[in-house]
Amino acid sequence: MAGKAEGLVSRDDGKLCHRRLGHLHYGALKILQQITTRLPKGTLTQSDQCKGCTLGMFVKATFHEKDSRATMILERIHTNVCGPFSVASIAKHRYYVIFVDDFSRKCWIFFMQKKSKTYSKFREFKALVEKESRKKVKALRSDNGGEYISDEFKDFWKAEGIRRVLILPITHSRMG
Amino acid sequence: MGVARAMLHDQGLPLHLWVEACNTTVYVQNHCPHRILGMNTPEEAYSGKKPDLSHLRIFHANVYMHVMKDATKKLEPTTEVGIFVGHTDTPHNYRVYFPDIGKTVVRRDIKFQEEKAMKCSLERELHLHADEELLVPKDEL
Repeated sequence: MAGKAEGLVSRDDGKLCHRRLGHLHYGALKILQQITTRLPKGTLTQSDQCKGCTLGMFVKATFHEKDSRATMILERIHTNVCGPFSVASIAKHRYYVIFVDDFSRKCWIFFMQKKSKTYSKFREFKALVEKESRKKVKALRSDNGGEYISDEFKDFWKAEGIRRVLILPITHSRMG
Repeated sequence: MGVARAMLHDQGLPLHLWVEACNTTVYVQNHCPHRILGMNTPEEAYSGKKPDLSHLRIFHANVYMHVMKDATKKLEPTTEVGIFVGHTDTPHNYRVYFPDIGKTVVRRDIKFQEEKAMKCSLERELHLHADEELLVPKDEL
């Protein structure tokens, strides 16, 4: 058969094409067979796993945002700390912490001189919004920054019954 | 943060005002339409009330404020001049910055003069374009 490699007669033609065409995926191979001539016949199936592809083409899992929206205000709060800024403000602030309500997307910003103030700013924020809306903060979603995993924060979480969602390291697209 | 940067560089402000710029950004964006909310504003989604935007002003607009009578002598001017640098949670209460003494205060009795800030922004735009023309290599002209 034309185009077949010598000594590989017993091998699957589909696998051969996959390798010849730079590890092209099986969907494209099927199309290629229809729009070109003299390509060895045989198709790859999804169960065919090529070691090279597994090692070289593994990609990050896609992030499905739709399944994770809150249904009421304060159900989930996203938070992050930013800084230190090279220029301090008039009141010597170098950091800010931002809280975003997942349902309404409303933001609250607090400025800090030290990162360790995050805990007290969170308590301030919580008291403010809970009194204002008469609803309770149910979950707080943050990264693994030291300011969020401190002992006082952990104790507060447990005491108040707030569900904490720490996102996995280096997956910042999951931050709200 | 991008909005805050734009506010600062639009008017050529000193960078230590980033706190006020960030604060204003959050306030303004809470009153802007959001795609995820079907172009509703976060403020309305949160409180259920339609926000009133009559009090929004250009960041860094000049403001004139009334000085309390007790604080001035008879013939001294009864107004102070400052710079608008943000809102407070109460509408029509504004944060005002005094560059001379480097202080920010919250004031209510204010008259705005946005023309100067607007003019400054437009002039800076022209200035930037003039710089771009200079960057074009001569042999391309």
